[in-house]
Amino acid sequence: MILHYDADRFDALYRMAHRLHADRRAWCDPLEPLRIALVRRAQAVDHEAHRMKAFVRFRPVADGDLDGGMRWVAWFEPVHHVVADVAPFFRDRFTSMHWALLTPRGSVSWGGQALAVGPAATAAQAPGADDGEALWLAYCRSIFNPARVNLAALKAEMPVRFWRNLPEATQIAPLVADAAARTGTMIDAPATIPRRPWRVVAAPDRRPGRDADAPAGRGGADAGGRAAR
Amino acid sequence: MELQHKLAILADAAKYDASCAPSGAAGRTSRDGRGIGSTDGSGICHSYAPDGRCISLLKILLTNGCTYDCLYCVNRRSSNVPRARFTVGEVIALTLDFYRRNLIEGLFLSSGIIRDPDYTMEQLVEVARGLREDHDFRGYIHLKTVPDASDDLVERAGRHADRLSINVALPTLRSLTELAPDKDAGAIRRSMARIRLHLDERSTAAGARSLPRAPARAPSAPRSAGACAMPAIRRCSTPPSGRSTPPRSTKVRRSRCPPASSTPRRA
Repeated sequence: MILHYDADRFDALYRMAHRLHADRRAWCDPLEPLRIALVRRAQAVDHEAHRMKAFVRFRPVADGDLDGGMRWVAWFEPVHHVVADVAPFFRDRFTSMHWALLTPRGSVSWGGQALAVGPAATAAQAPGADDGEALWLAYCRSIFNPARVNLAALKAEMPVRFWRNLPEATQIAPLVADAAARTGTMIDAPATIPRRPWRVVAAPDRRPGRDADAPAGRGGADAGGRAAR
Repeated sequence: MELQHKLAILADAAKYDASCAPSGAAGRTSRDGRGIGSTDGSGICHSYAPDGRCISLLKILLTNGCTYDCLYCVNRRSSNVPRARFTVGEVIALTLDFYRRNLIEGLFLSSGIIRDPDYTMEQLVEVARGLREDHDFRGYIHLKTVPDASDDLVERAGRHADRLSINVALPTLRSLTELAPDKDAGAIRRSMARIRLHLDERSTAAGARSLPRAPARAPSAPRSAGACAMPAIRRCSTPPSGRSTPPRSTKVRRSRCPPASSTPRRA
């Protein structure tokens, strides 16, 4: 709760303390407005910490002085003061790496011994994309199913404010733009014929504007793979 | 073939596999190791595709070449999809590189059947072994078990993976014979039984009390048949880690008073 960005957070805590001093049962009242406000802020901080664990993107910077010759640096813009709170997670995960987390709310670095907290940073201090990142973008393009575009779900899980620091977010617009055409190509492509002498029944063509009863000819295996007896 | 081109083909070939979120892994960190990786039992969705699906693991096939000709599968022998094959070293390097960038929680590796089931399974196991033993990788690993693979290979897979799964493929013996004539329902069930047996042996050896981890699963009770790529029906086994306790809850109780605050979604 004290990690919340709101400058009013200490006042709110003080008011709650004052309220509890007057009546200790106030903490157990689920409708107590002060308590509700505090819990909501604590949840927002928790949520931001979780998203930081998910959406931080390290990029390698060559550094010949280090074991492995690489320093891994990330730029992230959290809404709340969660950097120090999240740093132990990265320490436990990337123990053998030299890494630094730069944010406008302070920075943290790890060199194998202890977490070092540093001052606020700017985006200009973080490294840009390297060649290796192209593999990740290729992966994100390939794992996407163009027949199932769902931008609402995407934005609910990965809010737009994170996109500018997520390299894969640059792929979203072109992928969505091509999705309808790619889906059409998949539907129009003729089926490949299995090697065995399957006797395939043509599925009724349910695309708009097509005659539902017209036979699709040989190879029109339907998606369910129903073979004729 | 260029690595990026292979990745494009082999990620595309795996994209219809509804991947397990990396849940249920025993909590561990890399603090006392020489490598990287941690799991906390809940897993993290590191990104989302424009179809709204979570991207949490490097989900790929080792190869989409396959000697089987299962009618429902896009990678069947008679399909005209472009083919590619990773080397074991390439998958290991890709996993570690993506992991260091904080893009994934780990690896979900499956494969088409090449040469024979044992050879294919051996390649999958070698990826997991290399990650664990050569690189001390402590992230999440999920391996697909190849039916008909030898008991020894399944046991080795279980030693390195957080989770093993096996595709039942189709709901009835008749549909399997008709649509996936290369597959053997008996072999699929034998593989599941072996995994179960090894899990039981381990929990007995550890002197652990057998806790109910999941509802009883009858081998012939899959609920639906998918017409998706390689896997039609996925069946996850319990993680072969020999744990005797259920996955650690990540919920944080903020207050002793009800209602407990709900924690943020950890999808």
